[in-house]
Amino acid sequence: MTVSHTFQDQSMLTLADEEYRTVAEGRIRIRIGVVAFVFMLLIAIVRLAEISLFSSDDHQRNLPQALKITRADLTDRNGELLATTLETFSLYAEPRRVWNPNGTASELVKLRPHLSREKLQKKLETDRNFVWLERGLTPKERQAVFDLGLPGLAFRKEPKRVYPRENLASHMVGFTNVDMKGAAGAERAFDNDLTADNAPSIALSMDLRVQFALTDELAKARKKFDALDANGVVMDIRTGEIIAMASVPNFNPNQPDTTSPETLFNHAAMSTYDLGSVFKPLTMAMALEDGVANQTELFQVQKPYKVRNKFIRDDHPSDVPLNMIGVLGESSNRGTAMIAQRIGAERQQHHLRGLGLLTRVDYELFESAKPQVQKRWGEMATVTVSYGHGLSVTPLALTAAIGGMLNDGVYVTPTVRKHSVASPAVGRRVFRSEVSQDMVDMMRFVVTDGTGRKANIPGYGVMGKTGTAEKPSAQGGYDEKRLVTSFVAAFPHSDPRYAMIVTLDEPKAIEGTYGYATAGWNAAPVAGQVIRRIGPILPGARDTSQYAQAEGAVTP
Amino acid sequence: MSLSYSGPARAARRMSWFFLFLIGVALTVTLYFVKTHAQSAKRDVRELSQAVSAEEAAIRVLRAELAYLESPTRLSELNETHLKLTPILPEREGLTLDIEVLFPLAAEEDK
Repeated sequence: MTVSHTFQDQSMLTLADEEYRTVAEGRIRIRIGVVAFVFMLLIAIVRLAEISLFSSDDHQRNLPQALKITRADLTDRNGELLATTLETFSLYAEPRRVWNPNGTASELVKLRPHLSREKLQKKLETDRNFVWLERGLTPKERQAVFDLGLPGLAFRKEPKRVYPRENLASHMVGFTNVDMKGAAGAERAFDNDLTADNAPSIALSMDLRVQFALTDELAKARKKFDALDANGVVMDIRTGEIIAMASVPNFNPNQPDTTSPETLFNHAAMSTYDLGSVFKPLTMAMALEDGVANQTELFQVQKPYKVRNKFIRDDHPSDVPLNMIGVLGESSNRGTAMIAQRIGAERQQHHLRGLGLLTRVDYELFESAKPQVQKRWGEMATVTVSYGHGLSVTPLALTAAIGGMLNDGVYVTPTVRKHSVASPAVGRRVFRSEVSQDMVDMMRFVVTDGTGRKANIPGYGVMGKTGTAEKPSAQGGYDEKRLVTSFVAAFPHSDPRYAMIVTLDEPKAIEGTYGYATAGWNAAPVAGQVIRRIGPILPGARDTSQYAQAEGAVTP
Repeated sequence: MSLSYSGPARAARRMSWFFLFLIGVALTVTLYFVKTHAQSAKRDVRELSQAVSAEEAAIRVLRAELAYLESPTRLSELNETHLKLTPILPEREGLTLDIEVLFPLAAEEDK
């Protein structure tokens, strides 16, 4: 210890403890060191805690996220699967991790020859975090690529819509686009319902067995009669459920991009035709409803009949006057014209509006064409419309209208969704019950004794009406050689429940039809063949009238 | 006036800091174990979810395959190739009452 003394001035006395100063300085340094150490330790702990608690993986974040889109199944009315969503594998690359873009592209093209080598290499040489290489690989294809062991390639699961029934019911079911969004048919109509969280599967009104029988018979008929297309509808007239709706040619919804645009067209709901004489039952019903004609009155159809200086032509003119049922059975244009003139334009339009024939069919699908209605609806239009010319409607619209007429006079809007017992179908009355019963009997007569005899299938009490219409000519007027033939039917006669239509576009006369290409020779037998196949399948299709009077009759 | 800690107070203060440090360490260790346990449970849940998803996906594939195999179009083609079965015609169907008409009882015939 060193002590300094200044004796001249006591106030200036300074004591210097050099040892203490050194120790104090050392302590300060130690404290600074401890603080620095603790600070560093804290930083390390905080960082560790951050990594531990809030770890984030930049690498993972940069990769494409798996699509979470789910889409509920579509089934037919019996639970048969129509559309489902499966997982597929999509191949992607992280170009920064690809060692050899050239070699990787070559290896991939060997395995996936449809891929372009140049495009692949270009993608693999980019500076991006990831690029899609191919989407929708099956597990086997994925494994094959995986076995190549190429660095920088990986897979991501993606949902894909699959249609196991392929072409069958393709127009009704529809399809989705690459983003799994409904693009047509039920897929489009029920898009919101199908994509909701935990959405249950949706049951369509269609019966797959009936759909197959209808499609099969239409395809055979199209081939046999060399028609441009063929379409048909089967409908439950009490609930409005469309049991089957087919248009041939059709397409495979698994590959909608590879099909020709014409096949995507659902002619049953999107094509409008002058359907011809299938309109006549509606005209009869209108007359009976308005009380302007009755079934006993005779119409002078054997004589030439003129409306506004134009002769109304009958293909097979009767030699004798006909009553209403005879007019329908012989499909007389003259008789129908006489009846239509009594109904008048205003009442005719009123009835047609009620039957849904002046507006598009208001059902769930977007595929529904507006009818083509004449601008001037004078006397001549009233007459031509009465036998199905001058008003173009879809086959679906006419089926619903005929169904309404025969369903005790109650029109039920068609639906493609399975009917719930808890919510009964709501309809609107278009004809009186008595009128409906009269039409049931008259349409049965057409099949037993009129132009629809080839559709008379024993046991099913088929009712119906043929319709042959000439297509409009490019030069104006109608082209006699280009026909649209239809047969609208309903069954069973004892308690009508099903209505159906078969339409052939430009069928040709063949051997066995004696040069005829009219509906009685093509559409009617096709409809009969369909009923022959679907009758045993459909509940309540069998006719029981022949047993109804027998005591203790056993009915199915 | 300056505050100065006496010897025992300083010791108590140091002990407080020490205990706080110990508590901090204990909490960190506990947090570590809780976190590890949670991560482990999370991993188990994820694995189970993945297993369930895989099973569901497999079921969906099987249902789709079944639907394809049972497709009427395919069955019809197979039938035409191998079995050549035809549907029962309506003419060959009947109700119970038809039996009486077609095969009347012998006693009634005698009458």
